[in-house]
Amino acid sequence: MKNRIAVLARTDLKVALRDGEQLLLTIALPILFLVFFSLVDILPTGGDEPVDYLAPSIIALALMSSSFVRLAISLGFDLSFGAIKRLAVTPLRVGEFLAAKGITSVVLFAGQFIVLAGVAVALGWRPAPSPAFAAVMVLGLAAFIGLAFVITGVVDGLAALAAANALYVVLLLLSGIVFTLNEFPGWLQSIVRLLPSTALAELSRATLNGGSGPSWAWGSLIVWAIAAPLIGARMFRWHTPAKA
Amino acid sequence: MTTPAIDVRSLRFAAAGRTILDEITFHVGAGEIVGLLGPNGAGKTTTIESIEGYRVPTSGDVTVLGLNPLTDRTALADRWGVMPQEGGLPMGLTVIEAIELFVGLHQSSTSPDSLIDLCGLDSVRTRRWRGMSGGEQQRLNLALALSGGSDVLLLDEPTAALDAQGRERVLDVIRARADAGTAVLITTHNYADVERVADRAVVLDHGRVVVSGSVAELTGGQPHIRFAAAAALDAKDLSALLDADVTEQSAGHYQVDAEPTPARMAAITSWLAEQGEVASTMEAGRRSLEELMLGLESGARAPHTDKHGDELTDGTSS
Repeated sequence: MKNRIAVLARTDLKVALRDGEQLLLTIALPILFLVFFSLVDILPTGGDEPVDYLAPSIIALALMSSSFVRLAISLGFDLSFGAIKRLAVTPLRVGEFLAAKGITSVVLFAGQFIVLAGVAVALGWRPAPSPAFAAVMVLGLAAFIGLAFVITGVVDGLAALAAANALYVVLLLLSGIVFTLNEFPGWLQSIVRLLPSTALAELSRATLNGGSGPSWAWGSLIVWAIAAPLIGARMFRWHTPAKA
Repeated sequence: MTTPAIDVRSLRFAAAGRTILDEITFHVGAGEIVGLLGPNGAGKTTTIESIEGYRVPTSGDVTVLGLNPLTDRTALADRWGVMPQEGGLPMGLTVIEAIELFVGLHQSSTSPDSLIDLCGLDSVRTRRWRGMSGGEQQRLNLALALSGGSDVLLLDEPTAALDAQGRERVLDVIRARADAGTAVLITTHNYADVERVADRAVVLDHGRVVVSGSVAELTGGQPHIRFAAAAALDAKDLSALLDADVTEQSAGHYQVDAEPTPARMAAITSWLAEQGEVASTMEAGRRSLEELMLGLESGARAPHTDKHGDELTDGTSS
């Protein structure tokens, strides 16, 4: 029932907006990256203004932080403290739970996007978004929300926090978000192109500059956006299995 | 015959090569409170979690309102309220937000404010649950359980961490729900709570039902007189005089297993006088559940349950 989704999503949003650590992760850190690397010209961005390269990348990073890391941490805590176990005995369906968590992530990202885009414009960014940008964001959100459920399904409770943070840093460094793919050796480039974060950053940059992006990135992101939510939903458990 | 609200038959649960529950059978009817008692590790939480659908039994049948809690979770969720022993909540939630969340998820007509009043949470309504005392968290847990359906209440250790006042309040709330027709199962290791509020008790030990029956039967089955006097008196002589079992339970402390009538108590006083003794204390009473359990642990003969788990018979504990 839609109402239950709204009830849970509203509660989740309230909690997320009160959580200082989450706000630091989802809002403050991406802004810090954006401002620092835009003003201090140390990134190998060729002749472009750093903010033109960075803003689309940081938007991709923000999407990952709100829909993947924040959600995985929140699910990890809730699983560890039995909060999700308790929801299992309410009328909430699995699909409603997943939908509410997804909606919370989407709303938080929308807020992040507005703030980040505003800061980037203030720093001199002049984007030329194509309509495909919206599709990139939708696919990215689906992929990373799904991945949050996958990681909390694979790694038990609080260990999911560490795993999500570690993966976030790896994706941040390898996916062309801060460093361009051309900086990497050829063999590594072909591997990192398979990562959802690489495809997301690549397509974010392309579609915010009026382009459509490479087909390999679309293919990769579409596969992740379909596979991750399906696998995540399948792996979802209301609680950590009881141990005797 | 009407189906019991909660029906547990031959429930077995084994994990890691160890039997946790062994042929547990009992039921709870509408409007009835059943206390699931036992020491730590007896299997109380495993039993109630099997009823809640959290655990998959190795064998046996569990139904709640005629439904299978493992497969009919969503149908049951509208009709029961559940208080897990260690169920948490999202980290930053306040008391009122938690109650609003659960009322909202149940799409219940219950007002959150009425639950706040009922469970005595008004002074902490805007506090985050993680920062509250154990007793306050416990009352919040009860409020969340009461936000659900009213056909069945499953409460795992509902009075743990409560002070005397909080305990009384919680037990009153539970009794009122049962009086309104709710079938209530509570687990506890506090025998006094069960004596105070339950209609029947099922006592577990090492995963087995060692005794069950109505609280009145369990506590009233063995009236007694206890007295203290000199050690090593001739208990057999007194036993013959009273036509009742007399045992010296410890040096100078005697128990007469008989109804404490004025005539019997007078006979004991007279018999002591004949021995040149006087009783330093004498009390008449009935057995508490705790005494019953101590008796079972020491291997004493005790009544036990029949295969349906609801009738007392004489025999050794199983």
